[in-house]
Amino acid sequence: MRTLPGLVRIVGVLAILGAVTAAHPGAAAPETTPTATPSEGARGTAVAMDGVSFTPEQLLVKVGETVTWTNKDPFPHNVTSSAGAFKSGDIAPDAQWSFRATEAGRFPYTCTLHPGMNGTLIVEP
Amino acid sequence: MRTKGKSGIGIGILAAAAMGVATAAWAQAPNDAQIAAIVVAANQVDIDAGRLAASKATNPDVKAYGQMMVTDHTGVNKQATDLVTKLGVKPEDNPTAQSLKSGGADNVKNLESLSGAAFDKAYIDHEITYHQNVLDAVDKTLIPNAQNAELKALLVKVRPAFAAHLAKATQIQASLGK
Repeated sequence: MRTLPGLVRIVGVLAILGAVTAAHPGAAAPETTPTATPSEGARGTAVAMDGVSFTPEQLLVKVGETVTWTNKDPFPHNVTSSAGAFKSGDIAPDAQWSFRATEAGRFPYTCTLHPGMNGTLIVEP
Repeated sequence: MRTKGKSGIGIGILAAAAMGVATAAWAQAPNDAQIAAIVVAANQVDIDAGRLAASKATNPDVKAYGQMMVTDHTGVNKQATDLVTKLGVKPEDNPTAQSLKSGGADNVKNLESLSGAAFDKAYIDHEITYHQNVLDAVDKTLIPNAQNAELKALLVKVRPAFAAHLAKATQIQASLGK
């Protein structure tokens, strides 16, 4: 008999905490913002080449969308599909290169100038 | 005290000089003005060697690597120079920067005495040692001691480029052996 009111109190406290959290969405945002898992990739159409890496490393787009890579490093990079699906050539500092995805699939790519600088473009039907 | 580079002996001296980069940097904590001078010297040394390789190397991969070193390190140096100018930091010469510069001059002198496959091998071998030691200095001395947040951020941002250069040189070295 004494446990029920105790439980109610606990539930009540939790509800209050929940209300407080909900009232401060900004504070809770870092934990509640949905983040794509690495296997899924991030949605969007822009990839930055920065600090000798592609960000996001895995990008998820739909067929027909155009992806733009922007070089934020002070030296050239390139975007070269491992399977030969696309090849940018040198992209100068601050320059961009775009590619329209016309075929669904998973396309690993690399900067052939900088070993270890790898990314994947995932194109959904 | 440095002797004129003569193949094996020269390489040994160059390796020792390159080692000195990390050791000298380790001996005393540099300030931001000294770090700026070290960054500029480190890039310039590799630009000079790269320029020579771009014109003198016979293997196309080595030649392309030399050109890439000129391009990449020129870009990094411009960014570093722009930053220190913006921050009002005047690069201050120091034993580490001097050691880099004299080691670089010795390397170029040694490379100038070589040709063909011997040149290609000596250049790539030195690039590997050089980038290993620069990475060591970046990790153990430059990044930990940089006081200005933007200078530290620049070092962190360019570090992967040095690591990629090391990886690329290691790939080329393996292919030269075949």
